[in-house]
Amino acid sequence: MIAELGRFLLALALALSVLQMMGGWRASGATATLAGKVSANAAYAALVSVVIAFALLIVLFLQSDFSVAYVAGHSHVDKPLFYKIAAAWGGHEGSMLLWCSLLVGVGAALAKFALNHDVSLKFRAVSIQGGLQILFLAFAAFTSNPFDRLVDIPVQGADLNPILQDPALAIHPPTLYIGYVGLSAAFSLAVAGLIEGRGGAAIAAALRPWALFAWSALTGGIALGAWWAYYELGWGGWWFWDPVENASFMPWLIAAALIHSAIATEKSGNFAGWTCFLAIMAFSLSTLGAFLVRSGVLTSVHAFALDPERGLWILAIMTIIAGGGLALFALRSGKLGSGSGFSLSSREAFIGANNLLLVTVAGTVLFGTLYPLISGALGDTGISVGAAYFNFTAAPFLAALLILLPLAPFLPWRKQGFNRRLAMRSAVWILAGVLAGIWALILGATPIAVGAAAFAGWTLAGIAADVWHHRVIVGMASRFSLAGRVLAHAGVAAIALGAVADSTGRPETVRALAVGETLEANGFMLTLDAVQRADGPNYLADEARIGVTGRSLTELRPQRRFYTAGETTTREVAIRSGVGGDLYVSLGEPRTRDDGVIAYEVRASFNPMVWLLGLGAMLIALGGLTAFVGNVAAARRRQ
Amino acid sequence: MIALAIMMAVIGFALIFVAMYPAFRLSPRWQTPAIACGVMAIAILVYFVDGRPGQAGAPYEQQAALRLASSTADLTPAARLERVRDTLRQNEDDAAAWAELGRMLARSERELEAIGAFQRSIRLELDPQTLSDLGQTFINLNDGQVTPEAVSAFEAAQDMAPDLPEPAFFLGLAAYQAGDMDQAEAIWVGILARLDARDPFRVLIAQQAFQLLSQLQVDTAAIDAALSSENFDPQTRIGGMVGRLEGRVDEGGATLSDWLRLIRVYGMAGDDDGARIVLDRARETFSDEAGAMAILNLLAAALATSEGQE
Repeated sequence: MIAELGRFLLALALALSVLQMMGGWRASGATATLAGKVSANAAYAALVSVVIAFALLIVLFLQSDFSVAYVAGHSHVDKPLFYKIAAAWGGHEGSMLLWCSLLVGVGAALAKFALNHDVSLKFRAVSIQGGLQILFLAFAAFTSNPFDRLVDIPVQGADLNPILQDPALAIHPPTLYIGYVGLSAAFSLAVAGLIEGRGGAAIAAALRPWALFAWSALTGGIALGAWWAYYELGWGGWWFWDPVENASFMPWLIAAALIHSAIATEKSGNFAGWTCFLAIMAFSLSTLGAFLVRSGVLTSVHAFALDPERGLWILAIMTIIAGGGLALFALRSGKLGSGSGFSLSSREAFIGANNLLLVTVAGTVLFGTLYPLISGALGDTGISVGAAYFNFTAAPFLAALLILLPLAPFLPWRKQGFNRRLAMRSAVWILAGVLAGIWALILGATPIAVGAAAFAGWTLAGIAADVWHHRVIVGMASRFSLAGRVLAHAGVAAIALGAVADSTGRPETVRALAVGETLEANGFMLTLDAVQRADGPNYLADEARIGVTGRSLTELRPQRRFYTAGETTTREVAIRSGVGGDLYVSLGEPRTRDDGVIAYEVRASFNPMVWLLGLGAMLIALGGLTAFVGNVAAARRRQ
Repeated sequence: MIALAIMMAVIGFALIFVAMYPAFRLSPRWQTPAIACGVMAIAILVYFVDGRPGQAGAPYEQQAALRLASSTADLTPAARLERVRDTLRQNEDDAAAWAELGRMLARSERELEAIGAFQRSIRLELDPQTLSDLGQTFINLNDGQVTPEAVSAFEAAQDMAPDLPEPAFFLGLAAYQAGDMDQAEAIWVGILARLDARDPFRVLIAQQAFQLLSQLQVDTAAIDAALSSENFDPQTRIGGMVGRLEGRVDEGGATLSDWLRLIRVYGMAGDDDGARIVLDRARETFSDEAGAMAILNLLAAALATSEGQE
């Protein structure tokens, strides 16, 4: 009965979204406040409905009800409670329900918080959001329903993919989806603004907090995914330019451009059309991400549905969203206003350059991601685009971004601002860049990495100058805004430095070690003291006890797990983190050596200063959230 | 199904009422209820596209209770396995259930899991049969090789129950794989002597012992050298081997293995009469050794059967 009730609540959320869309559309007329209330209430009721449906899905997982196909395919009685809950969004159908829940949540949030001073624009946006909800809820209800039942009930479930049974990956999808789906608010507001014929500044002011929040969540989600890949996939990498990673990176880049563009539009009315275009593209690329992950058109380590039929549905949704949005943009962008113009060395000019660079990087990533698809359609199968392409095409633009990034905060709006004083100030930053370059040289970095370090050093010095220069700023909202900018920019520089340091890591040391034997890796002596059983509730495991001597004494316990339900083996790495970097050890298969002794494959590597990457991501996300708080506070004060 | 319908109606109309509440002052008065019914109709239509209101849920607890109440014969192999797991989920200190689970898993060729189950059982209660099963699973996992872990398990089992046939057989096999034929022969003959004549394992062990002990010991280097020689004649070499075996048998210094090899060579050469004569002599020689006689009697029975078929 629980599954059937869940199915009904999903259908009810769809029906209420229809009411939300129609009520919101009607409420956009100045007199129809009653319809607006109905639309808002329908949005809240849809949220209650879909949240209960999601809660019921979790209950089905907790009960291990294998009459539900999705539960049977992604759970197991012996799976730990935490992963039973996380499995609710660990597969295609459940994650689609999570996507829908968040989308409906954004609709309800728009109805509650957005634009209370401009009811017409607000309800137009709520109506557009209702339309998006209908598209995705219909997709979930008709093609990807997590409450679908099985006639032949299996005795046991197939279990969740073992590499997904991990705390970071349990939190990663919801965080990422908040980002993806959060961008739908910016989309709805931009489309509503185009329909309503509002000026660009009004639209930019309306969508900026939503874009900031979504971008922060997207940053957090991407960072969690990279962290998971780093320690779970067993070879110590954190970014692989995998199609699924690219699918999240593209909307992130466009959202970053959108946030900056919206600031310029809000301040001076410039880039109004561009801001709306980016808002439409950001959510369209989120939908493209969903298509790539779920359709099976591209091969990826973490694509979780390989179903072309569902892919066609998502393609149709994407066509409606992107096609409809861009067609409307083509028809109505003339009403947005053209702004007051700006000098070539004004802040707008630098923001424009920042936008061009970000969009160019997104474009090259999009081309590289879709190229196998395009070449496949033209008959060249088996072509894949590797990291070399992405590094080569993205790195110069990202370096240029680092150069421009610290200069913009010192430039005035509209007017010419690159004066002798700023030139002198930035000359000092060059010194910091040179020092960072020397640091990278000492680490043994490649020439490209030395360049990146120099640019990051320049950027950090510029950010420090930004803090010092604007220390006298008054008003809570402005302080939050400054703090947000500084944190996010510092995060970008930290990631650049982290990537430089990581590129200096030496290749891993691999040896077959018998108990009592030792290997040397980057100055650490690793001794395999013992291998013991460490079985879990749904897996068998060998756990190595590896004593580490060198810079400090410690013990690492990597595991090799065999998940019985799926008959899958995974490596659980052990990491000793320090300021200098991570000692990263994984345990492989046992082998009988020629001398008859059983030896275990032990892989050890030292990844320098990986923490800089995590710190950078945290700073960016925190910066985004701080700017969001500042933006919301400023909006409230204005009201 | 009625309960589901009531719940759907209550929840559905409650949420629609919340959504439509501000509109209840609308005129004409039928408009709001009509819209509410329309929303409900959409929800019901979408639900019935693939809804199965008549199908009950099947939570694990309920399914487990049903399995426990069923007779084993009514269950599929997968359900039988799950029933043992159900028992263990209720009481994970049930050593017998762990051992049973291990046996079922071993039969399904899921050796890694089976080893885990046997080890859990042994940690709870040392049992020679479980130790022996654990040893056999180690062997299956290692493509028939009796590994040191398997030997440890069999030795522990034999210490606890010296007359248990499997540990002795596999310890003999370990000696055989290590090239210690005399030790293998001694172990197998020893256990065959101790086993009751009606024990089904007696025949199995005797069969395997004959198969392995009668294997001709081949020196591959010598064969390679002979093959490369210009004067190589296989008949001469076989004749020489038979001659050496017969010499040892006639001198009285032959082991049981030598006798068995000689019988096998005659059999392979198609000389069944010769094989029978050697077998009769062997039975005379080992008439007071029960273990050896178990193998020879089995062989005699087999030869008699083949004679009858001729």
